[in-house]
Amino acid sequence: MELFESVHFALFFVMVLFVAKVLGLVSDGILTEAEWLELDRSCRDEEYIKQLTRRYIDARKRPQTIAQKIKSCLAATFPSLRSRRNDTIVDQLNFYAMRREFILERSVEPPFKAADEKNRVPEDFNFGRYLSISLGQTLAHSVHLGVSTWLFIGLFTVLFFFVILALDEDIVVSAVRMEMISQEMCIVNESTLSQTRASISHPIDTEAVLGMDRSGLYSSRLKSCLGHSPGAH
Amino acid sequence: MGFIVLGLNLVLDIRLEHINRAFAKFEASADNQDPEKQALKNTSFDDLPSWCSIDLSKYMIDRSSLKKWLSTTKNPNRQDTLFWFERQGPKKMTMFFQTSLLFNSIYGAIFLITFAPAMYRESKILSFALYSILSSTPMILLTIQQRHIAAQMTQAITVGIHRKPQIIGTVCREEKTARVVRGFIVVNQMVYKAEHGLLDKPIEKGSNPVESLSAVERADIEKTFDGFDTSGDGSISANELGDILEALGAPVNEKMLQSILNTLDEDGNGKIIQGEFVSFYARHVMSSDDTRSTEEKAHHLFKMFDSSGDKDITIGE
Repeated sequence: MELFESVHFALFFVMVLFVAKVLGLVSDGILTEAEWLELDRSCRDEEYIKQLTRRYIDARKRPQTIAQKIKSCLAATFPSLRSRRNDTIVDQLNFYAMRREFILERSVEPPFKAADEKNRVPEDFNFGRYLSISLGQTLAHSVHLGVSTWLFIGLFTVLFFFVILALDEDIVVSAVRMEMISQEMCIVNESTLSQTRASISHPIDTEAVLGMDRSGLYSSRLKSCLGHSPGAH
Repeated sequence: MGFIVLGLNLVLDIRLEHINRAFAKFEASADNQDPEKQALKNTSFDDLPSWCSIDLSKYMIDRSSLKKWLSTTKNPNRQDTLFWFERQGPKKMTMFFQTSLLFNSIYGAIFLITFAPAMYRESKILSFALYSILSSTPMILLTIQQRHIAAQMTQAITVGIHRKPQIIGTVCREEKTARVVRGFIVVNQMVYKAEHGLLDKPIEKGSNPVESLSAVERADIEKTFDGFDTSGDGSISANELGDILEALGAPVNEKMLQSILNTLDEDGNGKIIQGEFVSFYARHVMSSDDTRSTEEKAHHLFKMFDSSGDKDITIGE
């Protein structure tokens, strides 16, 4: 295939995937909006918030099982893995606190006084709706790629290209060769070990086995691996 | 590369979570030694959020020259310090998010048109399947991660000093419009039910629609009541109700007005208090005894706006 055609195909796929991702984000945004609106409605019910607070305190008193501890550790490291159902209480209380802070509109200077009641949003302000409109704007900005983003991507690509040049490798060939190496390593067993060891003393034979090698990087790795005891493989 | 970008996204996600927690003091304080005391205390919201406790002087001493150069902020405040690029933080985070979206697309495209076919040709099916799973893992995880980041980022970059007055204005206008529309619906229901004699319908025994209202619904109805109570004395007089119905273009005669008043004024003292209005709303406005189609309801509402009856609503009307 001609280089021009390849580039054309690549760009086409990039755009198709980009649009698919944005559509995915939009569809998820609709769910997030519904969730925020519901959280906001619940925030206005003070009695419900008090009940949730009590439940939260009770839940914290109870000792956690090992599975729960592992899950909470994972959720702290991978926030997207948080279970929405189990963390509803925390989500609601966090949203309540954030909404409250938004309405108070504190000064950024000590003593961090809240804004005057006449000059701030009303107590029944629909914070969920505010966040929903903001999410729409965020997504719209994300789709509209600016010059700085293209420059950043370009710089990143050039850097990656130099990394590949420094390795003196064709990345497609490397991927295929990695697979071949794994196959080669699988066939090494007790009976062929002596023969393979003999071939190490003749590097040109190993190169022939590996076929596409240019830098000798992976062949030298293979050699070093084969140099170990058979039990290591 | 995919795993590197995934790692960077994870770092961004954790940072965003940290920023959001700095504004939501409940979670910040609940991490203390005595959660019960803290959590109960926090429901009163007398405590400051955690961003207030940032030591700004220490931060300024530790602030690197690179950070100064990148952020272009001379005197950052405590909320600025939550972001890596201080005042420029939201912009840079959006840019990083865009880059990560585009990278994910480029990664997927290259994988599909270059790596996957080459591997399919050169390797066995099992190896190809393993390679595909391993290669697509960062792509899938990135997609999940990005959805979470979009929501987290929206929260982090639109609160505190980064609040958006234009959006606040839009939300307030929407709220006012909703209140006016609710008022129109109430009047529309009053007129329709008075015309068709549905206001005299006896209340079903054992059912109390007021009790089934949620606190939020009740608050919304009370706001509608405030709209009707033009004098602000906590009750709607017969004159106030008549004036409102006239102002909203409701076609009511004396008999219909009296019927509406009799239904609303449960204790018969000549004034409609908030509780009576809520009760009327729950029994009549939220009930399903209005058999009109949506089109018919729309026509009825249109007539209320079109006071001249020329089938055209002018700006004045």
